[in-house]
Amino acid sequence: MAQRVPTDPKLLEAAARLADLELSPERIAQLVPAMDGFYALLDALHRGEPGETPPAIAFRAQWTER
Amino acid sequence: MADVLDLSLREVAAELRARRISPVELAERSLAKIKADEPRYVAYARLTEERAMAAARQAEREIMAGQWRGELHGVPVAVKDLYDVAGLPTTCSSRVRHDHRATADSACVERLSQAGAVIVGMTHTHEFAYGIATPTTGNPWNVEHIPGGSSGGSGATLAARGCFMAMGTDTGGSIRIPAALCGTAGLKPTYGRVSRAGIASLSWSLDHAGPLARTVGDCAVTLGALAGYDARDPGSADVPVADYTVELEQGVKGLRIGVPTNFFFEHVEPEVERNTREAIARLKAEGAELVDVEIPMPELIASVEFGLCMPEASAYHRTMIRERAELYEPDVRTFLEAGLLVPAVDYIAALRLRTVMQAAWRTMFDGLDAIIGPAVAAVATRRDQASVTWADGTEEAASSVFIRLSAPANVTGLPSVSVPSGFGRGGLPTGFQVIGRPFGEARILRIARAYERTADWSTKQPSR
Repeated sequence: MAQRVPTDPKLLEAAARLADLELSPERIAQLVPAMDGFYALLDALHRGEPGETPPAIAFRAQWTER
Repeated sequence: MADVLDLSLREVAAELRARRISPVELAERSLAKIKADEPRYVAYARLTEERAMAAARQAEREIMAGQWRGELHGVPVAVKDLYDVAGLPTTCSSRVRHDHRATADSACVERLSQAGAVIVGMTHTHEFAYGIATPTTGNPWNVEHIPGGSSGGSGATLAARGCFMAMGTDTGGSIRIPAALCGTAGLKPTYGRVSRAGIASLSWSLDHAGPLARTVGDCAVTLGALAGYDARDPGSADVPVADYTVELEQGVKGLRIGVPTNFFFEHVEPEVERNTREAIARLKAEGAELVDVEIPMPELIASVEFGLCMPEASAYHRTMIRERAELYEPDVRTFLEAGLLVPAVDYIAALRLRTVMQAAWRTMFDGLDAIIGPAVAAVATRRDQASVTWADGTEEAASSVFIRLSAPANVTGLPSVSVPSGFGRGGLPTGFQVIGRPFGEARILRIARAYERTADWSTKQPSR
């Protein structure tokens, strides 16, 4: 698996824009150090191969009493 | 008589039922104690004095007329400032929600009221339940230390004997962490066992509602009043409610308890490990059979926990973080903004791994009644302490230290009760947890009670 590009202010600003989140330069500077830690945690989710495993979703089509 | 505020919920319920104490007098004593302690501990977002005294007067009339509703009748309790209480603010201990007023009781508050409980106040939470420290509040065992979180106000008021039960929520450990750090019992039921209708959400996939209380029996009684299907909560489980007290005193002879050989005892303070292993040894002496188990996929537990929690929390806060960002505390604001940048495929990967993890834990539980490990890895840190340095030189963020061992029961949805196990570094409380099968609350409470009977930690309290 390719190594994730470390987060930098430009990358974070672009990601925030895509997420429709307006972040000031000061706020971006504060977030950058945290993001690599978060992404490292999330990258671990893709290390194995889940095969046909479905997601654990609770939606039930049956209508319940109001 | 010992000070009535030192009694457990079940003990004070017996006094109320026998009319040896009035609910009105008890509520007044509770509120007076809370007010005397509040300058030191700051456990409460607000007191609900008017509602409490009205409920206490009603309880007095009913008990005098022989209409006893059960062991919560007339008992002063508190709820976390996430639970809607009709007509009152539910601020989630946040300036963001300073203007939020509940129009109806949450399901748990409804059920507590139906049981005749007297709600004396709403306890502080780490802002929006998104943390382990509850920075507003001091630990009654040492106010320079955190009470844990996010249900830190509930843990603190119980330790300080302000009330007899305090509701919490648990998304990554937020009932069990303050229970362990404040020296109380704390029960996170099975996912879906207790309705979350009317509780501000942190993460719909991981949120659980449950009690902190002085004793295991107090948790059992409270669960009996709260448990049950509620169509208003999409995660609510339509599973019959058990009597959680009926097997409490049956002991552990013949029960099989798993003891982890990995994960639960790694990077744990020596006193925490010692006290947990002593508890396990006592259960063996009481007749339990111990079985070594290996926790599956330990390296992925935190990833699944945060992979679910971060995007769900940010989805809940999507509007507020855009309109009121500067009103959030810095740590919560960071999590929420970061959560908006989590790709959907990461969230779905977490959901898929949750399915795999659930199956792996089911296999591990084959032939077992429960597994036991420390509830948290360390005693309460100082309020200004951001990290813990382990003996091998590894530095770990405080948030990770306290969530690490509690997250498995959130990811798997399995019931877990935290029980006081003694004291550790600095004379601060330690706790261990008993994790059970789905809807196996009666069994884990029985195991926890069997240990509790061998020790007197539940009677210990901070010096006044």
